[in-house]
Amino acid sequence: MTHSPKWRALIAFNGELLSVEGNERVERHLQGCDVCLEALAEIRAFDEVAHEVRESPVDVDFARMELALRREAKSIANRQRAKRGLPFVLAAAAVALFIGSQLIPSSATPVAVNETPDVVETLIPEPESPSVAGVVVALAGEVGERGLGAAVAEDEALSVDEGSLHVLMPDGSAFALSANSRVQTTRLREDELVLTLEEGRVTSDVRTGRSYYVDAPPYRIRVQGTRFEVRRDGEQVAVTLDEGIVEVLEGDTVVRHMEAPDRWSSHEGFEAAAQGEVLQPHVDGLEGAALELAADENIVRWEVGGLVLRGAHAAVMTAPGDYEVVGFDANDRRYEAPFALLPEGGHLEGSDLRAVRRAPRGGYLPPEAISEVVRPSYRALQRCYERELRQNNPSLRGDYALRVSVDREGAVSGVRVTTDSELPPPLRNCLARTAQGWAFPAPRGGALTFELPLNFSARPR
Amino acid sequence: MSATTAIVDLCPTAPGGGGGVIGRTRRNPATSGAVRMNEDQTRDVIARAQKGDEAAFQVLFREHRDTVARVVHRVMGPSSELDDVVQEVFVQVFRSIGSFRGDSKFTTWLYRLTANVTKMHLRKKKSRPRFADVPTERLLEGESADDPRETIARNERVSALYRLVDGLSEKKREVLVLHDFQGWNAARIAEAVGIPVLTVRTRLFYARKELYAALADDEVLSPLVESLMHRLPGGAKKAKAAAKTNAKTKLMAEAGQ
Repeated sequence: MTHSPKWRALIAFNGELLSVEGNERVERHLQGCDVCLEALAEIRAFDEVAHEVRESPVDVDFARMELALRREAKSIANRQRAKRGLPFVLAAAAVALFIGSQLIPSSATPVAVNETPDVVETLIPEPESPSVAGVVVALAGEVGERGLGAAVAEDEALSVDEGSLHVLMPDGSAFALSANSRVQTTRLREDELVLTLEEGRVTSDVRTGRSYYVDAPPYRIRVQGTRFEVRRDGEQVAVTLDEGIVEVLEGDTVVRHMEAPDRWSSHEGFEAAAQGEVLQPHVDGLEGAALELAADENIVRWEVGGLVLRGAHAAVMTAPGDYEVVGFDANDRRYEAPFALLPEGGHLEGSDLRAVRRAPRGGYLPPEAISEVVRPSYRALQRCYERELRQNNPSLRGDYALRVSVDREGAVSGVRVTTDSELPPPLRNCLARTAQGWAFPAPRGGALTFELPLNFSARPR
Repeated sequence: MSATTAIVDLCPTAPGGGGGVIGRTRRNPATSGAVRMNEDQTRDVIARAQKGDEAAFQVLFREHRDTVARVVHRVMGPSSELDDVVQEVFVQVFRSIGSFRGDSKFTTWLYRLTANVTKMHLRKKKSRPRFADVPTERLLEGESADDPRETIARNERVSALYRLVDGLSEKKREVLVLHDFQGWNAARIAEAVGIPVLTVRTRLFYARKELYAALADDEVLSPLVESLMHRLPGGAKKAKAAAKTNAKTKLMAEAGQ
């Protein structure tokens, strides 16, 4: 009889973390269990090679690198100087003209002006349009200290660790910041709005024809009346356009002209959100009442009038009236409560929610999620077959299938190898052992079982 | 950044003066003029770099190059492209330093940037044809006076382990490398990667489990597994049986030829 290796016990045994009794139990088990014996040898082999990795020298030629980096630093410094210097040069020229027109005859020799920038600013009127402020109209999870109804002004940093933050502008445009995201409100003006996305995801719903930009350096996304999401991770930027038209700029160059529905990514492998998966910003509620939703950790997602908010605690500004508030737990189980929101606001507790019965069903994992976990093991599965071929059975071939059970957390809870012919035990064990190592994302809706067909045949040499 | 751990050479030297091979000819801070930089000095250097001060860029490079090189090396494994990636990290540091707002520690920000550059490089590398990455001669350069055969065998084992690590998902790979190769504890990894400690432990467990299972099937690493099994109580019997089966198979194969 074989079983899966008792990895946790063996790791603890190997790390000398068990009690005396625990040690003795594992030692007794090892006497009669080849599977765990081999697993322990594998753990020790890994430790040994990992130690060799830690001891391996780091061979870098810093001297050569330093020369190249000096050139880079110099060019950045020059660009910075040029950026700082340009407004001053222009301002100085304007001051010269201003003073010239007031005091100096036009035929006189130009006067060199050597004013400080502060003085210049007082002399030149700023042709800026008035600034505007947004309002937080919905939030969920960890969004810092900003509460419902808080103002969002120009040049402020917004960040969301978990959940989401929805900001509505006076003209009806809105943007929503998703989990693990940081954005700077670089410019909030009547005629122009610029958000700088530092990391994470921001979705915008632009209602008017004014200039609206999301900067995700080195790219700028220019929009006019549209709904789209920008996500950024370091240098990687991706855009998903649900409605309207946007342009992706790099400097002054249009990198991509997008018409909905469309997706674009700066780097291969950095995926834009799928169409339809873009977070919908909350675009009304400025005149609404505050609805606060508080549940224990059990509830992870709320739905109120079509708006989705992720987090145990959430709040939304919305029109007073009757609502069907829906909460979901981590297993996607649905809870509901009818709620009458009054003009002065309202508060709903998790205990007000009632579980909705539904027919039991199995869990679900998208095929691509299964494939992502399984694909890297194809070579290992092939090696199991080749080893059997080499050592015991040169004519072995056939159709097999791995029947893999995955528990609700994504761990493999059982593997069966099915075949239309007799399968040698070493091959069966090797295939099962490989599959035991897979770790999937937690399936939606609970545990599941899937079947992976395998077709092995010897390649002619 | 801790005020007691940062080491920096605040006196810029002539070009090339600070070069070296860390791990083999590591510079001794006591003799190289390095001084410890406190938090105020660190903030000051970053602020100067954000304004485009060339000397501040150089200070940042010299202070953090060893750490960055070590992280890149541990994440990538043996590679002839280590220098290029470390250089690319610092190019990105220089270009992005303006976006560092001090919301997190500078070292956390630097780690995330390093991890991103390295990940991008690994993704590009995966899409290219694979060749033997580092010539054995280079691996042998400067090695200690060990038996050269043992050095080659060790390097082969390390390369084989990285081939298996390549099969892990990015998330699991990152946690495993930082914990088991870089030697960081779970709390430090959680802070650097921006995930809960529990998630670090979970990813680490599943990453190791995946690797353990693959070790026995790897032609370079399986002899090590077998020899270790031999040393375990009760393992000698099984290892002997396995050896007998192997010998029998070999004889049958020879007879068949």
